[in-house]
Amino acid sequence: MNAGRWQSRLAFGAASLVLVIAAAVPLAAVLIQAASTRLRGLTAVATPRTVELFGCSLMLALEVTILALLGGVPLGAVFGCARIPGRRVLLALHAMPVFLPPFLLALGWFHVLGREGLLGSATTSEWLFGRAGLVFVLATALGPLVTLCTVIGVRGVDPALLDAGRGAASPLTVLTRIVVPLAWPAIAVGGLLVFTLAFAEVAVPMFLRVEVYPAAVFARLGSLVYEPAEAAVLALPVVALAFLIVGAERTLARRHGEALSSRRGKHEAMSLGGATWFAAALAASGAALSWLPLVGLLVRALRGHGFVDAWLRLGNAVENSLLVAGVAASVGTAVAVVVGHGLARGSKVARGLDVLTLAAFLTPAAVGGVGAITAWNRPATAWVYGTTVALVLCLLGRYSVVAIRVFSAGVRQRPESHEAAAATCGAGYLRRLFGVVVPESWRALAGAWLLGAVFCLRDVETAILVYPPGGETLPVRIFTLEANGPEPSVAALALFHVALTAVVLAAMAVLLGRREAQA
Amino acid sequence: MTAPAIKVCDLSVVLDGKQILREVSLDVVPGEVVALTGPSGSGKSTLLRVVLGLTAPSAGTLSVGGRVVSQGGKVLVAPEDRNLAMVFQDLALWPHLTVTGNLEFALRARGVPRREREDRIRAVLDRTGLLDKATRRPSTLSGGERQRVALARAVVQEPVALLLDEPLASLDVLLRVEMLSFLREILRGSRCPVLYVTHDGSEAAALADRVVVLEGGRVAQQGPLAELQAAPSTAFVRAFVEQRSP
Repeated sequence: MNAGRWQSRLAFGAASLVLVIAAAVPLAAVLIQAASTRLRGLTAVATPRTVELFGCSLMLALEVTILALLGGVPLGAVFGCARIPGRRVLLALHAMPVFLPPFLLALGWFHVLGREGLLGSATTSEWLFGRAGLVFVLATALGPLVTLCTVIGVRGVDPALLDAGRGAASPLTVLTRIVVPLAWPAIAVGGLLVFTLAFAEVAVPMFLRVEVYPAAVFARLGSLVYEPAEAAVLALPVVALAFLIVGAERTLARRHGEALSSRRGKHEAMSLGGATWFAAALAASGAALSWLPLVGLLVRALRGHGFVDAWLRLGNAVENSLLVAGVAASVGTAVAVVVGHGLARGSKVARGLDVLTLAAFLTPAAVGGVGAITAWNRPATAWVYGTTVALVLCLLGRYSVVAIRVFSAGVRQRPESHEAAAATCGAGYLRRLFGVVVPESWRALAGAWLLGAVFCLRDVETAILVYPPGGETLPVRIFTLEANGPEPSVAALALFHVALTAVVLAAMAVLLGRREAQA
Repeated sequence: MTAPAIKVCDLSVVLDGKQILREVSLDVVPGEVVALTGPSGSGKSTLLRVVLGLTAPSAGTLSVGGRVVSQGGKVLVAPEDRNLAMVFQDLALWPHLTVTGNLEFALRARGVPRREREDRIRAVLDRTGLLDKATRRPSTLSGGERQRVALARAVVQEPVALLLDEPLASLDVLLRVEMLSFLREILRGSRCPVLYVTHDGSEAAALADRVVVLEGGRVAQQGPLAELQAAPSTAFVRAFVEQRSP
């Protein structure tokens, strides 16, 4: 066997080991725990109430998805190819909620629509703290995901197909009959993501006092009721659902290619003629809807002079957040270099690891938490469970797919012939990887790290289950303070989190901006 | 005297600060096939995009069917209202629509009534030998069939003028010869004025009444092919007219 093959096996072995520990062990622990309880556990949880709750949560996720698609697809089509003033800025503003913990936006909507909110009354408050309010908050928090996927799908459409349509039909007809139908695989992926995240959400339903199924799993891991065995059994249908969604996503990818990684040429924004101002108003409304809850937070924080108190309450939450997110994103990116490259070049092992990490991402955090507690909460692994290592592992397992997909998309845009040329010069696997692939795709690498870090920063549900004493992250601090802390301080803390995320996103925008300019 | 189907007058185009076309003037009269040629980067495809309305000129006047559609850098008529049809270099067939769907899209967008749409589509599919492929998607057709669908989609619109952007460039030699004779037959049958971008002297000889040569964004020479052959003004024109059939 030559050195290149050894190097490749070693790299894949190391990446597999990391991902198995971070993603597969917790999932396996849930399944083993559930199996060990046998019928006892099943009868304890298979009550009409839990079955009803599961159905209700599915319906809720479906309603959120439909609402997100109704708003996100037209917005994505407009942002993707229409010529409107301030298009990029409006898209960035609209997309911001995707990178924030949804419960933080729920908090913002409370300061807008709550009884004493900016636009609030008893009626709006009653509406917000109910099923309709929950659907609305989740749709506004996750809807931009559909928008972003639609934008990527639209930009993947061959520009000549749009030009051919423009010669015969109005911009609106071209958008509805050519652009959107051709971008549907990406739109479908967006819909699947929204459905999954809406189903998995725990913090927002808890805040708005709506019972959902994942919260029932979560509730069995509390300090009052601690029943990990029951939690594991309850988690089973959720794990099955996650694998069903992974199957749907993979089927889409097999039939239509990787929906979120194609790019077929430079798109010239399309003039919409008389409809330009309507489209601009639509885009501005999308941006305003995303920022209204943040304005609610700002007004509440300013009115109650919350910033000073929030600063005192910060403690080491920001440091903890940055440390955990930084380490998890760095390890995730290192893994992504090997797996993402393999995925782009058709490696079966990489494909298997991608499915594993996708399943871990789509499995609700509460389930991952059950698995992590079951796997690591034992004397021999106290050095994992009692420290930040457990949190880093959980975040790594849950979000490494983000880095893998981003890096893989970057590598796909580079010709394989560059690596083949290096191979003909005698370069082994590692030399090709670090001498050709990484330097050529360094922006994708940086993007993978930054996006991975943002997802780790926004996590609440995983962190709240496994953070060590004194190691609470900023979202966890906000979530715990929200129940009984002063409202202005909590609002100000939430804005600190927004600022922290904005800094990371700004760095990413600078990188992507340079990439556009070079293209 | 008949008004030109396309009249380009002192047209200039600047894109991203770079001058692509400089004071270009040309006419295409009804029934005429004009070949537009020139070295790579001379602005041929840009000129077609400007005529179709996909790219805005920075100066000059453009008329289509006797109507001013762009003047002094302003686009006065949107692409879909110019009643032009174009065959793109990569054909740009919509993959999610069938052959009939591709033809019908343009007619529906132009508000052609259903009965007339069906008649026109059937007639064009018959002329192009595609009747038995009507329900097929572009991905299931051969290269030559796809070429014919692209041409049928343009012809069925009965446009004021037809714009062809190197439609045979991607074909192999045998298919190219076959398609050239097919194209000549279809263009003669439709009597539609044509502005045809090509690099190939033999294509121009087979199809064009006149040739316009662009070099560096300017018209270097224009006239019937025989005139260009007799007195080529540049090295490119000489090389172009000396090309023979493949």
